[in-house]
Amino acid sequence: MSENTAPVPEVDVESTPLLKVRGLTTAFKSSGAMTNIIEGIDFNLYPHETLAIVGESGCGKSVTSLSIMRLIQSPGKIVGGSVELEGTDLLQLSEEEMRGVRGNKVSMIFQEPMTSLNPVFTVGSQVMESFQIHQHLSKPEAREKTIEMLRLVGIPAPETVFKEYPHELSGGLRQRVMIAMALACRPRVLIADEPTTALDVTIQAQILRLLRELMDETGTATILITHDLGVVAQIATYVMVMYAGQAVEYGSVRQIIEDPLHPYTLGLLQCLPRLHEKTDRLFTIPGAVPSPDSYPAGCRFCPRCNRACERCRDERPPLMELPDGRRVRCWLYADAEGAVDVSTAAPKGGESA
Amino acid sequence: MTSLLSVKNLKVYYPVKAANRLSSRVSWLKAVDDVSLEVAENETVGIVGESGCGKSTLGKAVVGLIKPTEGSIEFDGRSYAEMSTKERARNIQIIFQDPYSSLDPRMTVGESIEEPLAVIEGMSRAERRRRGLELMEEVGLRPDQYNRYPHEFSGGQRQRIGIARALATNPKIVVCDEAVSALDVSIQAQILNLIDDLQRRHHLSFVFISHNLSVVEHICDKVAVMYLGHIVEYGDVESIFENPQHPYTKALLEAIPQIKFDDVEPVRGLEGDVPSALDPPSGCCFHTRCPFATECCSAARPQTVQVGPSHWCACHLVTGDAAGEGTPV
Repeated sequence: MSENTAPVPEVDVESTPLLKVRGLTTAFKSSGAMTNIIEGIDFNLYPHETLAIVGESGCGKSVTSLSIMRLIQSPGKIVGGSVELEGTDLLQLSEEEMRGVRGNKVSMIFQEPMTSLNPVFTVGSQVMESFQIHQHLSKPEAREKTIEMLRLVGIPAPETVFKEYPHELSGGLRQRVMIAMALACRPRVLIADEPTTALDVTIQAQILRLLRELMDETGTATILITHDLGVVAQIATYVMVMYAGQAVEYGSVRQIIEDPLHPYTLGLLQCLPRLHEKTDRLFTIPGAVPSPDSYPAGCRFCPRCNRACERCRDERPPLMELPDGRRVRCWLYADAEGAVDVSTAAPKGGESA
Repeated sequence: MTSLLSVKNLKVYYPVKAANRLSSRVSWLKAVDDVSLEVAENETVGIVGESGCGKSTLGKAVVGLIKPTEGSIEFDGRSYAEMSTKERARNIQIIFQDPYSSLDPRMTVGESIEEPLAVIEGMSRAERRRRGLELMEEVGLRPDQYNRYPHEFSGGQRQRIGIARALATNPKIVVCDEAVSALDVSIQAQILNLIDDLQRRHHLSFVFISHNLSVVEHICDKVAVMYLGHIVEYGDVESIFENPQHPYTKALLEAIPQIKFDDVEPVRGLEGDVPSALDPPSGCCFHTRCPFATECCSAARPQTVQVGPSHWCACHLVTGDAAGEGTPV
């Protein structure tokens, strides 16, 4: 994949991307055959930027982030593509080398902090671990750094929280601890998988503000996985909309929210009840996401699309890049002026057609 | 409009044993503390608030799953104490949040939906089956799914099963406890429309518990905002959303991430967490987080006053221990 087909952002043109994902494809074995769960995912991530990945459950958002972290477990397997972090392809590293990357250069925050923190260790010892393992600090040094980190994420009385166990903290504080842990080694890339979904709106607002401030300060780039388009509008720079394992639209946050092209993106935006805009009836996208072994022959969104035509039923739409840099996988835009087919050829190993 | 359900000065306290095992002291967690609420026929009343504010406990008390410590709940003019369990269950039903854990995995969809008909109405098998299929059609499930098991369904379809089951006995009131919170936005819209249709068709009343204020604004006629077991603001949905009076309601509304780009600096919002209900703050329970709190807020509990045609609020700023606008109720 050559450089010029990558989505070119308006800012940071001179800098090189931190993370370059090309044709990432992950398959799961089901009843003997490998089925692609995500297919040909392409994107660039620059410092300070936040890429939001949105879509319904089962569209492959989490599999994408787990593939980048190489945390896909059997029967799943990354079958193609590359994930370049500052020039190094993470998919080529040995497991040993990869362990040096996780939690150090790339780290992750999960949705439910209670299940991702170890209940039998104190908060402090869990955050401290990263400093000891990745930066080879002594215990007192790591302790000092940990308390500093806990203070940075806005935890009141960090010395006390250091000695506490996860169950003694509220949901908001636990999520702050997760963030402290993820940012401990100043990672280049932070992957946040639904970081605020389990939290109340007032706490969510606090956490989003914190994430935004930390991004500005440290230059960490973020991949944010969420289904809340309000959160996307608040903190994302770019948005990738996923449907049934593929990227169906990619663009800047303003392009996606104010002028969505793909009928799926439009549907997601329309079916939300919005504050202070009372409607009698909500727009709905009929049906549900198909399972990977029953994808329709043509466009995967075709059965639920209100603008589907003959061509959508029979032929798979390619990912098209429009002159303004946004990408969309829909036949409606195939004949648009200046549209270029940028689909990554599906790699061998998975079912390709 | 006469009220179908009336909750009067309801208190639900949970006993909490002291952490020290040698001590036999029991303290009380005031989950719902002196709450009054009316629900009319064909009306949807929303209950909003952060986790731990007592909204689910209130919902469970309304369904009769929890016995109130004090106060009374009346359905159609009759107190719960006078009604048999079956009679109450026939008229008041509940839809839970998580459609994955609220259905028995070993019962088919048909059996799940018909169970209340057998237990409460004592219907024969043939009658139950006829009614079960009717209910499935009503909520948008196909008759051929009658013998399937819950694991074969998606989250949205499972929620439809939960709704069909709740509607089996033709209840008058349905409590929806975060009924759409676990669903994707596209599915959430489908279920909200279904709830709307059912209300139109059967003149149902809903008590809609949710932390999602946009959803509540969309579906509810009235809203009660709860904080630490108290209702701090109550009234018509338009009035509350367009002209919130209580600082807590304002903060909740401001905290919602909106899907638009105004270059206004986002408001700072609320700091800190909800205080523990075991040891609630003195006076107005919100004063520890309230940006406008004054001395009188920590001293006395504010009275609920009427601030609009159909709008009540409990806040010292509004009762105007300075301004004196409202009249005590």
